[in-house]
Amino acid sequence: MSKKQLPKIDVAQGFEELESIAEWFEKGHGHLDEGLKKFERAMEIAGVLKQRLDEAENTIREIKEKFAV
Amino acid sequence: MRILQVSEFIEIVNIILRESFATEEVAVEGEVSGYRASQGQWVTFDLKDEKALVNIFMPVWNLRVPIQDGIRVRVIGLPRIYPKYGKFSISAERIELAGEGALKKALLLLHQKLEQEGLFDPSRKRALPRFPERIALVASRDSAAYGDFVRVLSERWGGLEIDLFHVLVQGDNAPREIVAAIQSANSITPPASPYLPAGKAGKGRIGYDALVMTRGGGSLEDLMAFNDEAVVRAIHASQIPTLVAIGHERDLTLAEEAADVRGSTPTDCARRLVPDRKDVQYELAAVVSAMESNLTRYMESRRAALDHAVRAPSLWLAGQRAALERATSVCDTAVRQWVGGLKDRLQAHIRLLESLDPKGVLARGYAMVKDASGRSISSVAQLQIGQATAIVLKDGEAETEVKKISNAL
Repeated sequence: MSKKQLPKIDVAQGFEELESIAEWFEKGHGHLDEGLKKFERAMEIAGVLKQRLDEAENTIREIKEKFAV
Repeated sequence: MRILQVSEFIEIVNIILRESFATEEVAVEGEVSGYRASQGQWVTFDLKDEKALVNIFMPVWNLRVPIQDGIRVRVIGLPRIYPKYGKFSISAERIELAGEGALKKALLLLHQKLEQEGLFDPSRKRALPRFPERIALVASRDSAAYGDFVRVLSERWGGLEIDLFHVLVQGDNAPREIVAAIQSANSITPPASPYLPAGKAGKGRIGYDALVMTRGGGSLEDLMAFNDEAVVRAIHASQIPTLVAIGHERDLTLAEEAADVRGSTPTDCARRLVPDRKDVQYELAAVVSAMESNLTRYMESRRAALDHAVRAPSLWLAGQRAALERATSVCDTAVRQWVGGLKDRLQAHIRLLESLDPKGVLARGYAMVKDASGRSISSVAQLQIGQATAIVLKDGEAETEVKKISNAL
């Protein structure tokens, strides 16, 4: 998935959504298709968040190098 | 008989008196009474004993000793009649104190008088500058006190500009010279300073940082110049802060009491005027080291704060990563448990259904009997001899006929 295709997900909101999905599963609902959709959404969010954090790490390193801290 | 005019008579009498009482040969001793100083110029009082009284008259500048009513003095001067009023008096050239302890008593009286005027008031004493640069020194060039003072001064501190105002430190002329020296030191303006705008330098300012007056020890009489009222007043009036040390530790003169700072001896005087360079060097080193360690401590704390600030984003990121890991894993577990739960439920239904399926029974070797209409027969009571039935087995059916019926035992 290239950067440009990443859906816009706010990191804090992403975490909240992940938690609510986990809660949904813990309640043991029986809708399989809905569950599968939710799981896919969860994995999507997790992937985006991971990429965001990787990017942030790179940016921090670049800024540090730029100002020779 | 010779006829004289009044003025001629008085003139002759005055000549006779003057020739008969050569000064320095006769002094008249008695007790002072009705002492009065008028217009700051003339002093008059009566000199008396038990039986007689004579009026004394003198210009105030001839008076060198502190006199008050009741003290005994010796008057040296010329007896004369003042022509205009025909009044007989001694025109005094000099007055000395007479009798045991007279000097001390006179000093005590002068002390009381000056104290009442506030000349010794501790509240008006000024501090000497810590690092004086220009010193006016009122002392005798030839005295040991001068040598001691300058020697100790240079041992302790360098680079001082010392102007000596040479004066006599004892004798009749000493007070006048000392007063003149103090006044002259106060009239000198400072040299042009590069730190002040032109024209401001010297205006209304005094040139010296301190005025030092000192002499070595001596008898009370030797030190009397420093108990002279005019000298004490000049010290009191000095714009330059004054430091006075006369005689030994035990000697205390009025000049010292009027001074801003009193030194006990000429050497002590030098110690009070300047700090010891060793002390100052030590103090400087301590200040420098304190500044250095303060600065180092400050830098360290700033550096730690900076490090913390620089590391903060990475720490935050690591925290976020861990949170993501946790959230993902929670999700993962929840999904697996959810799917597992769904499967279990399904399996339970399957098992239940399987146990109800007759095919399952047939598979274990049992058979089922149906009538012609396909209904299941579970009792012999439903059968008749010759009736057509079908036996259902796990893999097929067989057409049969009932031949015999027997009830279960």
